[in-house]
Amino acid sequence: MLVPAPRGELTSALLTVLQDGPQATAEQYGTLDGAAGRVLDGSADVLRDDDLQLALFLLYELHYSGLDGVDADMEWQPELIRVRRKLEAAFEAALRQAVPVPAAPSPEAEEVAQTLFKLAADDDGPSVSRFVARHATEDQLREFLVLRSVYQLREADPHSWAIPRLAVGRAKAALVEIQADEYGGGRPERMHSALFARTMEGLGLDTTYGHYLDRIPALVLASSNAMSLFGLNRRLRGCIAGHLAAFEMTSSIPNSFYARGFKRAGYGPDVTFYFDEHVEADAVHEQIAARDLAGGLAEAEPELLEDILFGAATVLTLDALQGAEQLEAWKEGRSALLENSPFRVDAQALDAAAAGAGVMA
Amino acid sequence: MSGQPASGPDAVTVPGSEVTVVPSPGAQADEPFAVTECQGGPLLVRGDFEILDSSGNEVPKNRETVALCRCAGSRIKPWCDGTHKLLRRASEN
Repeated sequence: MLVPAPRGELTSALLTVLQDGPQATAEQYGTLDGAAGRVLDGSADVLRDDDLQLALFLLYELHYSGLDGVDADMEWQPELIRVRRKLEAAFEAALRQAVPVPAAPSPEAEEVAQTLFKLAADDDGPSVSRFVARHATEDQLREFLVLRSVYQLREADPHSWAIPRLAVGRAKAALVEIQADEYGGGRPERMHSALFARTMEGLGLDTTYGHYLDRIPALVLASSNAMSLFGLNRRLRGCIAGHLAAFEMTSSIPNSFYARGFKRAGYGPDVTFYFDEHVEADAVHEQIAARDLAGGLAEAEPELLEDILFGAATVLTLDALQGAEQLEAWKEGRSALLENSPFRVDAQALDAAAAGAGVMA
Repeated sequence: MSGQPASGPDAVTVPGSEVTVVPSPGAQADEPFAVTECQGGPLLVRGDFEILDSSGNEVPKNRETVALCRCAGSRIKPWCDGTHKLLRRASEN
């Protein structure tokens, strides 16, 4: 991933350590630890704290495809793992405080599935998808893709962490069944991440991972970080199972609205195929995820039921917070992306994209 | 039987999407495919099967496991597109 600009003293200290790699000094780690402590003490809103969410995002990135120019062995640097765990603890506590969790049913697959479907159906969060279908301008469609690209360019990866963390049985088989479809069923050109890249290219956007990171707000990073938190900690395997179920349940119908928005703007099947594919795929996945993954896990390990529901509800809460921020900006005629600040280098992103897109309006 | 895979029938006709699920020609297993009736939702089909339209023509599949529409409301029949959730919500209001 391209290395982003820092957003405060924590990410400044972290990027210094990462760039120095094995040569980083004890003093530099001391500075990082001090910065982490100060950010945690001073943060009034962990979910919207740019410095904290970017730091966590970078620390997780070491476990995905890594940062350009950073020594791959930094993935297991004990000091970095220690800092990550401190930030994670604060992040998990903030999520558990912010996310309302529904009452648990009996730990039977069908009961769990119906509870999750009801949770998703009762969600009355702001609808970015309806806005995209009816009103989004060319620039807003581009911003929509940029915001989604943090997850969608590596679609499915965070949930794959759960595969070896689940015991042999119904839940694991269900997760692999879903993930195989996400990764294209053996056809790389049908991988959902590849389909999303094709959509971005259709609007003249850069698909290099991290290209737009400097303009991504904290709440979008928080959504991504929640998946990594749930996926990378075996203790939280219930959360990642519930997360995927709610993710799939809130996908089919919104994707039909996204497709409508891009068609309205004059884009063809090369751009809209990603959304059309998700209407069909996620209507399958939501049934498997609800009944066999989440329900199957609840039957096998009933003590995980609370976390399954918490993981599912986290999707809805974070989507609602981020969607509200995005729609408020758009309705006021502002960009939903971060402005370039003194801390950030100009990503030169959207202006260049807009100039080079050459698409119909 | 809701939520439980049914044992391998020879052919399953799906009202709502007007298709029939049959074992693939040459399918070896005793129960070549399994169907799950999703409560209030689609019919989930896994295994070694083909989908035939009302004229007996094969409908090409895009994935291994499919969800067939049973509410007749899908815009991408025979596939489910989640519309049953909107229909259910409308009928509850």
